[in-house]
This record gives sequence, structure tokens and C-alpha cells, in this order.
Amino acid sequence: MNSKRVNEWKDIFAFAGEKEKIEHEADVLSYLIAQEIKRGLQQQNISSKEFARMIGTSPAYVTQVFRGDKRVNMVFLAKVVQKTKLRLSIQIREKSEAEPSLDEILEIREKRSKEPCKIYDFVSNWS
Amino acid sequence: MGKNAKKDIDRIKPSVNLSLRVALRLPEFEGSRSLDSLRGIQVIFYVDEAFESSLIELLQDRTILKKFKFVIDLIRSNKMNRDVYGSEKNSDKSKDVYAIKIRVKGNHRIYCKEFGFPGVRRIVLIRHVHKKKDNFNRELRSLVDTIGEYRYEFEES
Repeated sequence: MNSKRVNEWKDIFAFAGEKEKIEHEADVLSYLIAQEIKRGLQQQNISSKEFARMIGTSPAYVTQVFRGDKRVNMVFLAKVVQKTKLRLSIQIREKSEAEPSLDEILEIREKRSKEPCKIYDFVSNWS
Repeated sequence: MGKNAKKDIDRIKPSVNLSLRVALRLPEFEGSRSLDSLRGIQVIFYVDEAFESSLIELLQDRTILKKFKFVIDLIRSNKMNRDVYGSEKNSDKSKDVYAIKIRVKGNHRIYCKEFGFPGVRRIVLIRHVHKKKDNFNRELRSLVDTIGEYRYEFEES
């Protein structure tokens, strides 16, 4: 890929501003919460349709939340707590110093990819 | 031409494209901080050289681009579900074919092929389809089987 095209891709991937960056973070956070709710419902054998009925909303809305097209809001979470057996566990913490950043993870991977393959590479990739 | 060579040629189906295609590596981008600690196996995205211009054109739409980045970010941290990125297997030929599903401004699919290497997943973005319906018709089944047979030369930038 020539440098002009690389820059074009960097422009495409860059956030247009702080607002867009925060919006992206909000979408991801909402999606992660929705996936936890979905997993909890699956463990209780409750379908999305049944869940929608329980919390008094449409199945289409629940589908949109689960696939990240609509964000989870506080009222939605409150209904989950009020109308199902699911409970929220909240943890807000400071980023640990030991927790590597994405750049650090990629650097480790880059170094490892130049080394001969080890058995744990295959295990982690295929398990 | 020897008898054996003739036999080998006969075995190659005319529909199968055996030539290597070129996959161009896409640059890294800043994603969600909530996902940073979840990114274990490195996922590298490429675009099929023949598809690059069409993809850039598609991503000029900010709404589609926003959703595209969202899905890419989830894939990088292995947090996607089948609603946003799923297998499109039709037969053994298409066992490594997946689709990014974008349901804004229509029902878009970006068909991809995955290549697994130790510690690394390479995903090549190959084709965009604007689906009218959610069904997997004969045309799409044929497309995913064709894509499934693509082989790539990976070009790092």
C-alpha cells in the first residue's frame, strides 16, 4: 500500500473529534453490558422475546440493544433488576500499572512472531 | 505434453481461481479503552487489493463508518457476537468466510476470509454486498464458496 493510501486509511480510522471518540466508547460499553445481560438470560433459558415481554418493551428494541444498534440506558438496567432474577455487580477501578496497553501487547506479539513457534502458540490459537 | 500432466490439468476445475490475490494491511487505529485489556491474540486486518477503492467509497458515509469501526473494534478484542460478525459457511470451501454485519442505512455485509496463524488472526476484507433480505440465497452461497477458495499474498505496509 502506498503512503498516500496509508494516510487515507489513517484519516478514515481517525476519530473526527473528542465527541466521536466518546460516542464510540459509549457504544462499546453499552454493548459489553448488553452482552452480559444476554448471557445471564441464556443461563436462565429466557429468550429475547420473553425478556422483552418481561420488561414491557418490543422484541425489536431488545434485538437492537443486543447487537449494539441502540444503547442500554439506566431505565433499561433498572427493568432488568426489577423484572428478572439478574443482579448487577458494579466495579469501577483505576487502571492497574501491571495491565499492558494495546501498544505494549502488540509489541510483545511482534517480538514473539519473529521467534520460532512454540507449542503454547498453537494451544492458545486452536483451543 | 505428457499423459500425467494432461491428467493434472483436467483435475483443475475451470471455476477455481488458483492465482494469488494481494491483501493490503490496514493501519492500526485507536479503539475503545474498555476493550484494551481484552486484546490477547493479535488480529490484523487486510483489504483485498481489488476491493480497496470500493471499501473506501462505502466508508465515506459517516454512519456506516461509525458502525464499521465499532464492529472492527469488537473483533480485535474477540468480543463480537454473531449479530455483528459471523460465519457464512455454506460448504467446506467457505469454512473460513465470515461477514461483518452493518444494519444502518440498509443491510450491509462485508465478506471476509480469516487466516489463522500461531498467535495471530489475519482477516481479509473482500467484498461488500447490500442485502435486500436476510436470506442466504443461491447467489450468496456461490459468492462465499468462491471467496473461500481465495488465496493471498499478504503485503505489509
